[in-house]
Amino acid sequence: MRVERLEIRDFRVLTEPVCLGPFDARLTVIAGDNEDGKSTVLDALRTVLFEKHRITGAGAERMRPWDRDVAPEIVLEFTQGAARWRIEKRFCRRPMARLRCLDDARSWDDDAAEDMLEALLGFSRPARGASDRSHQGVWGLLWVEQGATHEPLRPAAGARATIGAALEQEVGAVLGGTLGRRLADRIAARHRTFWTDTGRPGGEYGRLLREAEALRGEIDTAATRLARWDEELEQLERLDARLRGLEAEQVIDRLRAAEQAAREAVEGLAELERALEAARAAARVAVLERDRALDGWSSRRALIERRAEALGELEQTLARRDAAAQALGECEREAEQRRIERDQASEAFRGARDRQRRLDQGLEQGRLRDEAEALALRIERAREDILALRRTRAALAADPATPERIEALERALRKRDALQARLAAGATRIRFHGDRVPSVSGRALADGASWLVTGAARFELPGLGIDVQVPEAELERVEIEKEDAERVLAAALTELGVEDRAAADRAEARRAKLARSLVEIEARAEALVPEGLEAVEERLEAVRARLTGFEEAARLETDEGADVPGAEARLARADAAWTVARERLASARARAEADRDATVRQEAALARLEGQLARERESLSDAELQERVTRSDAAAAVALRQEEAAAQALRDADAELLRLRLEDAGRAHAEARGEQARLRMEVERLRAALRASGRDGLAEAHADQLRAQLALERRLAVTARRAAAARLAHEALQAAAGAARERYLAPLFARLQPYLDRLLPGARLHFGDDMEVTGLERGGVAEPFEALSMGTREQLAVLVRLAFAELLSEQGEDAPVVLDDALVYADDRRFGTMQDVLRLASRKHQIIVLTCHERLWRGIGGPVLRVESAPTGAA
Amino acid sequence: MSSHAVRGAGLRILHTADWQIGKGFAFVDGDTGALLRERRIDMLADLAALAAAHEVDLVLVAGDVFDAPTLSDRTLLRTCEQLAAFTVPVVLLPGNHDAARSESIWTRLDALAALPPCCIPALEATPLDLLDGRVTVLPAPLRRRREPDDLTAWFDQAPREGNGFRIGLAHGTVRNRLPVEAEAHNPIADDRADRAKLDYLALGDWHGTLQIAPRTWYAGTPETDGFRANASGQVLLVELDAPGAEPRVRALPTTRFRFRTLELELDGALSIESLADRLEALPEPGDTLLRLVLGGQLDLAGHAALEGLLARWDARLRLLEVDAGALRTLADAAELDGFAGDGFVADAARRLLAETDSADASRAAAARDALQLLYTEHQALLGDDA
Repeated sequence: MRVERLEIRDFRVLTEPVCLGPFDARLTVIAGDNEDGKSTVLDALRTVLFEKHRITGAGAERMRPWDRDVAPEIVLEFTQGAARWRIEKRFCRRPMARLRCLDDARSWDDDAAEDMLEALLGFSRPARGASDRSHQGVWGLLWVEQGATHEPLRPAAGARATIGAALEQEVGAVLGGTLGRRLADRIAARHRTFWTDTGRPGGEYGRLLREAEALRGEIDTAATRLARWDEELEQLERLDARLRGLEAEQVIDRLRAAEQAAREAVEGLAELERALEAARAAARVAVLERDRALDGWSSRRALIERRAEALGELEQTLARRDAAAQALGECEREAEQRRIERDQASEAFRGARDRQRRLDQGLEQGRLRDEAEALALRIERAREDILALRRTRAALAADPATPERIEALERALRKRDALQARLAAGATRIRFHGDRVPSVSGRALADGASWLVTGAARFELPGLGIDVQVPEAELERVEIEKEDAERVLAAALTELGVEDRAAADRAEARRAKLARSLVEIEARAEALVPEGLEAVEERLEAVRARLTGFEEAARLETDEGADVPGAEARLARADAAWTVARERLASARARAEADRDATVRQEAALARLEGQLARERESLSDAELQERVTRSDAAAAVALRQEEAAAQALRDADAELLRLRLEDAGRAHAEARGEQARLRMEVERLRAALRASGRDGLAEAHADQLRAQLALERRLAVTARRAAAARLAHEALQAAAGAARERYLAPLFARLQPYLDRLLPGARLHFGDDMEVTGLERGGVAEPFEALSMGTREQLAVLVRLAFAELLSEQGEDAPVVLDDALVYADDRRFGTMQDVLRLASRKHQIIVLTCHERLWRGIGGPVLRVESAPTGAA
Repeated sequence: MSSHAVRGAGLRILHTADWQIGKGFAFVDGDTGALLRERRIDMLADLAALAAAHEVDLVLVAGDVFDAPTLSDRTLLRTCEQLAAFTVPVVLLPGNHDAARSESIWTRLDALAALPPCCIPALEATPLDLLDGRVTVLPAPLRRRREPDDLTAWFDQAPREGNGFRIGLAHGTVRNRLPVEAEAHNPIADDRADRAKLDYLALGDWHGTLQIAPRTWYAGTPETDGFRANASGQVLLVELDAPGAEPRVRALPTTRFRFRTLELELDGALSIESLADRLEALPEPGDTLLRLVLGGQLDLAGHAALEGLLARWDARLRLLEVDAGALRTLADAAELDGFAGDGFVADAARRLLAETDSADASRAAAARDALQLLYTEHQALLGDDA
């Protein structure tokens, strides 16, 4: 079909009649600004072809302009095959349809027209309601509304059928028809029952695998229990054999007998031990007896020796006492001699000391005399200064030029001078010239004299009197003040006793000189007697008094020498010698005393010892004592020999070995009994455990598990086989379908690829089963269609539509491609490329471009139609 | 029946072995395995009836009465209950499965005190004088699972008292006389009967009935327990007219369940029909455990038909094990076209068919299955459409 001409009236926004055409057989641009109704043109095209004229409800209402109760009308002239046709429809009110063949004037009205149109163009309308793209055959695919060009391109069933028919016409029935597709779907469904989307075992297959795994674990556990049962049985048999061995060989009995024999041997030892104990006790007694006899004899000998020693000591003491008495006499004599020497030295020392004292006093007297002279001189000068001070102070006190008065004079002068200045500044000065002498207020003035008028005054010239009235009272007051000041000044001068200022200054200088002199005298006096005159005078008195004392005492022997240290040293030496002599004397006396005491003591001790010896001998003589010692010594020797003999007998019996034997025999017996008990216990325990687990039917349970495993494994094997078959069949079908699709779509690719190479050199598009574009492959990388940019998606969708249209066109199924505001997402380069592609494609079939960018499309080559009201009425 | 001829002077023995009560049948999945295990207890009633019917004097069980030492008390008690049906002495010999160890089935039975009076466990290697001294049984009980020595050696020296029958009872492997797969443990001299001057040596361990010497027999297990073809599933009726006389031995069938192995080469629809006939010819399919080993080649339709057939027989037989590893798929282009046309399905089918010849056996098998799946699903689709 090719669009030739279109008229629209009262359709949606197009309230005024619009007439478009003639359309170019190749490429026509329909331009219009926004809201001019450009997209409405495409809607009108769809409506006149695919909507029944009798349509009602929302489908009809949407055709009417807003708020207008009119009947939309559309007329389309088109070429289909070799014939030209005109379809004319009115909707909503008095709906009508008329199809006419413009070549042979055949005509169909209303429903007949609709049926004919369907048959002519090969589409099918819905039984009721508005038509949608799925009902519009290949036109639904090739006519794209504004804003929809970038959407995934999924041909509806009708479009697929049309294109599929065109494709199959070229390549034959490679897809194997719907049965093949259904078979593939069934196999895919079968595949899904065994495998997950990620290719892992799923569903029943996955469950069986998991169950088998779990069962394997259980079986391992059971097998372990069985193995343990066997091991325990082996152990039971080993232990049982050992136990029976113990019993069979009567091991316990033999060990018991051995222990008894050892015990009896050990009991034989006790007798020997008792004999040894008795011998040991007897020996102890004999030895004690002997020791006592020895002790008695040694005590006696000690006593005799002590008496002899005491006698010797007494004799020595007596000799020593005589020598000491002689020495004492010598000491007494020496001590007396030393005392006398010491007294002499003491006397000499006292004399030397007196001479020294007198020498010291002479020296002090000289010093005091000098001091008295110096003090008298200072007192005299100080008294002179005091007189001068008194005179100066009196002069100062008499001086009239006191600072107060000088200050008052200064003030009076300053005040008078100030007032004088004010008068000079404020008064009128009159100077007189001439030869006549004026008088002022009675005072005559000389020629050239001037007069300062400070108050009312009377000037008189000879023959002329002039009264000057000064209204200014201020000057007069100043004048008065000045006069007062003069008086004060005069009084001040008078007080000072001077006549003028110069005299006053002289008086002030004089007074200052007096004051300075006073200060100097005061300083000098201060320096002479800083402690005060009276203090100095007192000091002088004291010095003189001390001198008076010396006058009498210290007049003699002033020239004598005095060696006080030498005398002192000699005295010390004499003193020390005397002390030594006294100590010696005391020591000699003490020794004499001690010797005396010792003699007494030793005599007493000797007497005591002799008494004791006599008493003891009376009780037991020395000979008797010696006899006793000899006897007890022999008895002890015998007892010790007997003890040694008993000990040897015990040693010969080897008690340690016998006891060790008994110990070992006891231990062996106990151990054997312990082992027997342990073995019995362990055998019983194992037997009970084995019996208990045997009763549980381990073998049968294990067999049950193995059988269950077998069943499961068989099911699993069958399932795995089915799963593998399903996967293999599915994969084989997928691969074959992919290859077939490639072949099937080859005619489409033959049309598409030249365009695609212009836009994206080397790229290739992927299609799905329903001829939808699924992705783009470039540089060996496949990208899903949805992941591409909006611009690229739009451009690819347009290219595919052009290829579809071209394919159909070449099969004689001519269908125009209508693009509403397409390529809005393209950059300048792509836009240019796409325009070239459209230019090429329009050589094969009609293309209609609806755009609001007239300027961009003006150079494309086809006519540009504007959506404007037609000058004449439509239809 | 000739039994009356030997009554009095003669001796009639029911020789059996390898009951292996409690056997797990781990290789038979599901309920069938449990049923087989149950059957080994239930068969005792049949044996008791058989003993009664043949008026035997004595029952000898030559070892492996029980399958394992760790059977449940319940199993032991149920066994004892069944054994009570015997009216003549039943001598029970421990074998390698139920060796008389320190703790064993026998100690447990003793503790349970549940064995009926007719049962005589032969736990010691000492002569047993039975039937009022008419017969002396020389047992060789295993006290361990594996004995390196011939435990029957003592038979030679066992004193002969009186003129009674002298019967040996043992469990093990007669040297040089069994198939190679028999275990080499617990050896028994093949001339033991002669050397020990036995009237009969009753043996157990080999599960098929087998004569070793005129007086030496393996009875085999009375209930077949595997696919091994070894004449199992019977007991021996041994008749001795007098001490020293040659025994008369007869095998009496006792098994309920039959283990069958069927090996077939398939080729085309006719061969499947032939297989169906073979299956139909099986007696008592409900008591038959069948191992089917298939080879040859089938096309896709043949495979589908085989699958249907086997599914039906899987339900009818007690057990059906199929080993079709050697069965190839033969599908030519025509058959593929028949269900896949020219489309991509045909391509996939051809690709899978090529894979069925892969050197990798598992890959080839998977390809066969996948191809079959395509075929089956396609047939189902056609069925839906129809």
